[in-house]
Order: sequence, then structure tokens, then C-alpha cells
Amino acid sequence: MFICWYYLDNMRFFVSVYIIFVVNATLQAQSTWKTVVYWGDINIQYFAKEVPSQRTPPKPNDEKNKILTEEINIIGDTLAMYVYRNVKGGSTAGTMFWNRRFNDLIFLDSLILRTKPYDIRSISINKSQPKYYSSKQVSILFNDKIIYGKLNMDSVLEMPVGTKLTYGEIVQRGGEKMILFKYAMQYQDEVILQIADLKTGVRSNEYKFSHIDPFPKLINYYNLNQKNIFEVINNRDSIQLTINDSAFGDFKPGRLTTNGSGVQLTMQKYSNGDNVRISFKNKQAQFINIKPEENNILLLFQRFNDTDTLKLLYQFIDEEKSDTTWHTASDVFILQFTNLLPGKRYSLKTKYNLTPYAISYYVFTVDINWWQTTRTKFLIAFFAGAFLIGFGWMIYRNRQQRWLKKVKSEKEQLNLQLDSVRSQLNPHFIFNALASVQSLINKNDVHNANVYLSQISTLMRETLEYSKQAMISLEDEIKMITNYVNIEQLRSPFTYIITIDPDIQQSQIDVPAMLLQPIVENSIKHALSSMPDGKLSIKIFTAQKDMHIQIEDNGKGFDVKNLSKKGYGLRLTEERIGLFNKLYQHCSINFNYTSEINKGTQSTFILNNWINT
Amino acid sequence: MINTILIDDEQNNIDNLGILLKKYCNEINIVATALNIHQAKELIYTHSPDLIFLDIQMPNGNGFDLLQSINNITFETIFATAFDQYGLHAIKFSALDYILKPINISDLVTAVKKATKRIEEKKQNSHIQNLLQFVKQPQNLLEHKIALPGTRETKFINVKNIIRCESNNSYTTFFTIDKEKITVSKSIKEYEDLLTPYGFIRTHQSHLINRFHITKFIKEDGGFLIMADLSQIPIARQKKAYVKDALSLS
Repeated sequence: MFICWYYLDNMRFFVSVYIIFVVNATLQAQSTWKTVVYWGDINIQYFAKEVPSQRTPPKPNDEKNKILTEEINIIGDTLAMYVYRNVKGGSTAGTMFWNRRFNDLIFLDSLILRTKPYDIRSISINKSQPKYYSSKQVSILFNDKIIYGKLNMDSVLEMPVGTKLTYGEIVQRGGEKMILFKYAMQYQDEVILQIADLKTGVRSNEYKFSHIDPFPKLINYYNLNQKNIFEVINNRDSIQLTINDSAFGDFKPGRLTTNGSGVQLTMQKYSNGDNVRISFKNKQAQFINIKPEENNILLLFQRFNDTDTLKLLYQFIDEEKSDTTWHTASDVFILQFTNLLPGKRYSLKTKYNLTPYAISYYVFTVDINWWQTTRTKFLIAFFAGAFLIGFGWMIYRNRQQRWLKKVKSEKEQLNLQLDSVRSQLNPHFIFNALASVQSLINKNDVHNANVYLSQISTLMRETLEYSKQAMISLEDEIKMITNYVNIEQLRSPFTYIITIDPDIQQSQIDVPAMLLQPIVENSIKHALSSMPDGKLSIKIFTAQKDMHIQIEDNGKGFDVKNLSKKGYGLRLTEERIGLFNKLYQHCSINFNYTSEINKGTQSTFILNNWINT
Repeated sequence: MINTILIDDEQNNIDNLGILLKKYCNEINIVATALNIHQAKELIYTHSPDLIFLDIQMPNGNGFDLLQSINNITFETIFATAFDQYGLHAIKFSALDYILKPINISDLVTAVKKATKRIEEKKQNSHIQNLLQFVKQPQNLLEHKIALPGTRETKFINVKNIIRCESNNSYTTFFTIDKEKITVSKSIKEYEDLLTPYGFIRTHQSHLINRFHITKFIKEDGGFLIMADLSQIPIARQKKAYVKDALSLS
């Protein structure tokens, strides 16, 4: 159901369009027709312009072949009509030309068929094959016999029976007569027809037809910038060239000949008569772009046999100057332009004087030089940009790195301080110390509770104060470590002794804050806290410019080689020393430790180049 | 009377705890004190105490080592520590009682009361076993079970089976993949601290979710999450960036 409706709908649409088309064409035609012209079996209805008086109007004899036209232009001797043709099943449109000068010249679309009077009485539209009707197709009525075919621009003649023929001598059966068809290639404007009777074998005379393309057709162009050629002067039949080359001397003008692939110029030298041959390489006419080094060009147009009356007119317009006057070329098939500028566009309009309505239009674009191309510009811009970015990046990186370095060193400095804070504020220690104080309170040992509480607060106060600085004096460091050891003593009973070389000016020498604390803490935690008779010893002495700090206990010791995991204190100390050595170049700290099972552990800091003498 | 052993490596701490217990917890009867775990182990076998106070960090073997060395734990344990983050995490995870040094007296009294109650009811304390399991496999996060003490019983739930927690004032309700709902009278903040290492995210004031049970992230309405139990969990505006950040990590 649906499909059926769809089909009907489409049909209806098609029919209505068809009706509208026909009615529209008719209405338009009726409202604008003014004059009726009859010509042979074609009747022409046109308007607006008068018919040229020299012509004899033809008699109407075929209403079916009526050609409707909306528009007629008379340009010079030529009548150009845009026509509707009534053909079977509809109508078709195209341009038809009639030239009064040739009397019986009829153009169909862009094709001109020119005959001598009475050779071809009329040309009619092929009624039998409307389907294949095209702009390139003509039918020829010849001596009351219809010989028809399809002549197209590719020089291929096709007969209705469908035989495909190439140019040259062609034999085709047409009733009892045979048509011989020759396509003269020499100037590409001649068609020769001959009729042969198949029964008798008698051949008729040859009938020559000239056909010219009304549009000037550019065949080739040549680069005149080849060496030696200085100037080209066009004459009617020859081209005169002056050759500016001392090796050759002066040459007589020679004859320009063309073949399928190029132009050859034969010249004679004045002095000794040597022939010099100059070849121009052929280029296809369908060009638009020419190279900047080929900015002097010679244009070669299609050549015709009969050039007596034919003249080539041209307009050569560059972008800036719009010179619209038509110039007459000195030669009907040659044009020459010199000094075309790179990057410019030139438009060339050409026409023949006989068919001025048919204008060929060419646009020449001269390529810009390679250094002017967008790609080159882009590349230069790209490289310049890349260079600038790279340069900028380098500066940025440099600055960034310097900044980073600065930040890094600041950060490391900060870390050094922070680490000292962390080591001092070991929360386990703080809470345990406070728990010890709580125990003293609960035991009612008020005096000692006060002593330890003040010691803890002193330690915490110092911690807060020294956390702001990476280095403190040795004096302060010793005070702090004493304080710390005192607090630890409350929890585990051990004795300690601190020995300092009297030559050392404790207040004058700085050390990293809380350098000793983690190591002392380790001794207390791992050795002294779990033994009855623990002893801790801290010795500070100098050796030349170095200062040694030795921390020793008599605890259970450990196997240095098999230390499975370094504790927090040891890691922290090593990290801090590493950072310190990175930050300061002129002095450094070495840290090492030895331990013996059941005998004790000894750790040594060697502060190199520490003492100023 | 509750027979009690005090274990701490510092005599001062033992003395202090003893004084406080005598003063504030009359039901406690200190039968022995120990300065290390070897001594403690012997004393436990000799006295079969009802309760021990156990310091975690000690020089020769810590408190967990002691518990692991005892075959049949029939006593309650109250841990005591000055500062031990890992140990506290393990203890809290198994919902065991602990006191911090220096000792807060009211914390001590509460812990002793709870222990006393359990001793009187003669409940087997399964929390210790969970703790020991936890301590045995500290790396295997997905096998850790968290103790959720309810009003009647304590449930031990594998952390990976918890989909989300929802807070209701000071209560927290757990939703598991077995569609169980367990309400615990602890704040969601406490569980946030405990469960963050396990991939839990606090998306909202009253929501703590397990990242591994998120099925969808919906951008509409300011963003919310669809969990494995199809619940819709809102994301607080100020937590949005944090949640996104956390999700992109998984």
C-alpha cells in the first residue's frame, strides 16, 4: 500500500513538472516573439532585432522542426540564438549561430560548419535520434539525401549504426550510397566528404567542408626566455626572431613550422648560410600557471587554412590595469607577451573577428619566486619562531634552573632545620619524659618532679628556639645534650661523662643543631636502658683543624655488618650530614660508628676543617 | 577482685600506674609487676591473671610479642603506650582498650570498668586474636579485619567487604557486601582515621566510602557516587576536588 502510494506520488510529481515546463516555455515564448524567420526546413522565431536584409528568408516547410528562441543576439555578421528545440518527448536547449557572411553557415552550439553555397542546402536537426542529441551533433542534408552522423570535437565520426570510426578515410554505408569521410588533420579545420555508389562504384567529387572553432583555441605556449632568443616579431606567414648571441652572429628570419609536438624554427645565418634549428618545446594549452623564469611567452592558437579574412582579437588585462579595448593581433594564430611579473595574474580574452560572440578566456598566473612562496615564508617564519622560542626557552630554563637551585638550597637549608626539630621532638621521648614526671608527682616526690619538669621545659624551649637556625654554638649543643641526658637518666639509671678539650672555645664554634642527640638517644634506648651499669661518654677534641666528637657506650653493641635496618636516628643523622656537606663546600662532616657485641658502640663525628686558627 | 599484672620496662611507670590504680580502681589487685616480656610470661603462667596492663615498646621484645608467645589468652589486656602510631593503629583496629602515658585518670577508670565488665560476664575476648592476626600480616591490607563492637557482640569484618559507612550523630553504620548493617557507637571520624589507609574516602560529613566499591560517578546535581549496593552517596562541595583526586589515583 505504501509503496503503491509512493509510486503514484512520484508519478504525479513528474507529470506536474513536465506540464509546468511546457506551459512555461510556451507562455514565455508567446509573450516575447515578435518576428518569425523561416530558413530552410527550420523556422526560427525570434524577437527584438531585425533580420539582416541581405539574406533571403527561407520558406517554412516543417512545422515539427520548429525552433523556439527567447533570445537573439546579432554581433557583426552573426546571429546567435538561444533556442528551444521541440523534439520527441520534450524539448532541449542550446545556442545556434547563423552567419550572414557565409550565407549558409550554421553553428550548432560551439561548432561551426562552413560550406560553399549549394553544396549543403540545409542543416536540420536529427529527428530520429533525439535521445543522442547533443551540442556536438549535426545532421547534414546533402543533395536531397540525408547523410548524418555525429561529428565531435575529438575528430571522431560516429554513424547511427554505432560504428566507431577514427579520422582519416572512412567508409560508411548509407542506403545504396557509400560515404567516404576524410578528416583533414593538417589544419584541423577541413572535412572532406565523398559519395560513392555501391552498385556502380562511381565516386562523386570531393566536397570540402571547413569547420573552424569560433572560439580561439590556444594550442601551445612557449617559453621565450630560452637562451639566444631576444625578440620575436610576428609577420603574416613567418616569425622573425633576432638572436642575441655572439657565437651565432646575425641570422636571417626563418620559417616557423609546427608539428604535433612543438614548433620548429629554421633560420639561416647571414654570413655563411648555415642553418640553425631552434626548437620550442611544446606545452599543453590547458595551463594556467607559468613559472616566474618563463615570463616571456609565445602563444600559438589553432591554425586554419583560410586566414585571409580571419583576424584574432585580444584583450590582455593584468590585475591593476583593466584595459578593455580589443587589440588586433598581428598574426591570426600567434600572440606574444613579455615581462610578466611573478605573482601576478593576467587574463587573456581572445576572439575571431568573424565570430566575435565566441570569446575564449584564459587566465595566466605567474608563479611567485621560490623565496616569495607562502611555503618559504611559512618556513622562514617557522624557523624564526622556533629559534625565538628556543632562545626564549633557553633563557627561561636558565632562569628557572637558577631559581630552582636557589629554592632547592633554601629547601635543603629548611630541611636541615626541620630535621633538627624532628629529632628533638621525638614524641616518644617527650611523652615518656612526661610520664616519668607524672610518676614522680604520684610518688609525692615534689622536688624531683619540679626539677624534671623544668628540665623538660628547658629542652622544649631550646628546641623551639634552635629550630629557627641550622647551626648553634657547641656550648649550647652541650647544654642541650646534658639536659637531655639528665631527663633520660630519670627513666633508666646510667652514668655519663662529657669531656671537652679545654682549648676548644665552645661559644665560638658552631655545630649543626642537635647533631648529637639522635646518637645519644640510640645509645640510651638500645644499650643503656636495659642494663644495670650503663656508662655513656662524650669526648670532644681537636686534631689540627678538625674537631672530633666521640660518643661511646658500654652496652650490648650490635653487628655493624648485619644491621638489618637502620633506625630512624641513624638515617636522620646520615641524611643531615649529607645535606650539610652539599650546602657547605669549605668544611664537611664525616660520621662513622663501630660496635662490638657485649662491649659497646662508638660513634664519631669528624668535623673537617672546622677550627679557625 | 581482679588479679592484675603490670608490665612496663620502666619502674617509674609501673610505680605510677600502681599508685593510680590503688587510688582510683579499688577492684584491681596487683599480683605482680614485670620489667620485660620474659619475666611477664612466667608471671602470667604462675598467676593466671584476669587482667594485664601491657606497655607496647620495650627494649627486649614488645607487647605484641608477649601476647603471641602465649598459647591460651584467658586474660583481658589494657595497652599502655607513650607514643606508638603503628601499635595504636593495630589496637584501635581490633577495638581493644588502651591508655596513653602520661595517664589520663578518667581514661584509666573507663578502661578498667570495661575490662571488669567483660571479666564478670566471662566473655572470651576475641579481639586479641584479631589483633595478633593483624600484627602477623602487617602488609596484607586486604585481609585485615576490623572489629565492630555492637551492643551485644563484636563483629570482625574484612575491610574489603565494607562498602560504606554512614554517620548518625555519634553512631556509625557499616554496610557490607553481604547486605549486613552494623551500627557502632563510635564517630565516623575515628573510622575515617582507621580506614583511610585501606582506600576509604570521606566524601561527605556523614559518609565514608570504600573506593573499591564505587560503581559510578555521576556528575549531575553537584556530583554523587553510586556504590555497589546501589546507594547514592553525595559528595560535599568542599570535598569534591579531594574525591576526584582520590578517585583518579585508584
